[in-house]
Amino acid sequence: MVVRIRLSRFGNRHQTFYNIVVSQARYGSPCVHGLRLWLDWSSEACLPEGRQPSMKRNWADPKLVEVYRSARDSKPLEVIGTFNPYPQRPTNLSDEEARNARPYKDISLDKSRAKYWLGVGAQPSDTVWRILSLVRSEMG
Amino acid sequence: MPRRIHSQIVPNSLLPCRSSSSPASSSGIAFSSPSCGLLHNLSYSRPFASPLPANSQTSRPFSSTQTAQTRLRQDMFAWLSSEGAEFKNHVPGSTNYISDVKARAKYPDMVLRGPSRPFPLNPNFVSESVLSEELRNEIYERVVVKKQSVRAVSVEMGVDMRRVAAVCRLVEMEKRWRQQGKPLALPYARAVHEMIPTTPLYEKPSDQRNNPHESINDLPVHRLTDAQIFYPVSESRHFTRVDASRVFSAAPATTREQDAKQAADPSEIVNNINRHSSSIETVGKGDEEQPILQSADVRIPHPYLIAHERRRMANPQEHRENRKAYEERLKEVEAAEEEHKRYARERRERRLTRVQPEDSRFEFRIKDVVVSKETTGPDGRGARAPGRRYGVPSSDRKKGQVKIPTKVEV
Repeated sequence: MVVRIRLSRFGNRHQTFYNIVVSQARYGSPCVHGLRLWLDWSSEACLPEGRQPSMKRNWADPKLVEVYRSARDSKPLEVIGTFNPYPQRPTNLSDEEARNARPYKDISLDKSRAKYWLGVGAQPSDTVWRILSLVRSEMG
Repeated sequence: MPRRIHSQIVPNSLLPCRSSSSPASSSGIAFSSPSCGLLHNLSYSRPFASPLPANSQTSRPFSSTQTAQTRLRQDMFAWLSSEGAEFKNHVPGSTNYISDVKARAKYPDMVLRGPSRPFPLNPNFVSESVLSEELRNEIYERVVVKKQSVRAVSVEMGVDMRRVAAVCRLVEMEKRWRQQGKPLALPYARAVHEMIPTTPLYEKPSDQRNNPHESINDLPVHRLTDAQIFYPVSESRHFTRVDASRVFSAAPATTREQDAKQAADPSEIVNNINRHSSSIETVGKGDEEQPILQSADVRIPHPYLIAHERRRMANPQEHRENRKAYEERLKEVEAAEEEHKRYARERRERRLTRVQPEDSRFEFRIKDVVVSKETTGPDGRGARAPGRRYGVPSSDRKKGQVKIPTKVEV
């Protein structure tokens, strides 16, 4: 099963706010993970109690098979940061500075934890990949 | 013009009904002066308002019912035409309150100033004075042009520090509006300033200090002091404000040596805390850890004024030296404050990475946070860890949640 680094939506309507989380993937590739899981689960050795093995084809992308449902906003393995997609206006600037100032987006991230999870094979989603690439130089 | 309601001309309700039995009509409310704005207009409302024949004895045009003139109403018009008439036009520079009527009758030429009570039946309502234009401009001049500190200007002018800051922002805004050619409600401002008590700008600085605009050294109420605590203390113990504040924050009592040190030089403790705010003791563990409540002497806005007053009472003759010592102390406080701000800013900047990608309209500010056992806590819900919490209900829609901003960022 793949561990992913992805965003998880919080906040209210029109006030989106994301946690950057490390969690189990919702979809896996059938040939690698799904099959193995299927084998494991069919023996019912590693199934949580009362859980039926589920293996559905994702028709949006038929190559992927849903092997384990982990809801988008369910409790993740770890929260390693946040991302506020709404641009903020910089304040406390002089008139001159205010003319050239760019609006900014707030991100908070524990770089060492991100590095660790990448090291053990966690796969960042496209959005998180872009966020991580902003601090690529510092993460080494 | 008579007043219109729903495009119909209606008689003015302030106009007295001129029945033959009314004493108001016999007194004949004679407002012949053309400058008499309000009542001059009222006299015109009569022909519009009475299409009925004059003997119908009513001021209501579409009703044949007689309107009863109550005694109170008659009294009101009698008063309006006699002693109340002088309130119609204000005397510039003096208040136009109804409670001033006796003072006016006694000293007709006196200019009334200072706080007064506009409502005779509500003595708790005090009309506080506002800053005059000159004082306001002087504050702006000192802070923005002469670069004096808000703290120093606040003490010299007797105006609260928050008000000094607000004055600077508002005057700045006014200047910008003038620059942009926006219309200003100047006649309105002038008229209001003529009618309410204002704090003038005095020529001599000592006058300004002796007649402050407001109390500048008020102790802000702290949440911890809301509790009513019965704390038994032995009679022999010297229980001070410092001890009281420790009781409020449930900190252990100080030792005798510490007590003796405090009693020897009380102002030194205040100075130390202002200089090294990180040396304040804390109580509680983990997320509950918080600095102990400081005594009232430390929490007031201008603690060094107490030391100044102590020195003045000890050496009443040495004006110049006292003043010098005060200025030095003020400079020290300002420097410590500046240092504290600079340190906080640097620490914030150290944790922040700013990235401005070439192909983006935005700047990204990436804050370094720590996810560890210490920050997330044993249940994973620690407040110091990043991100919104799981399993903790959001109470933002609950009753009593304050959502309005508590500070202004400009």
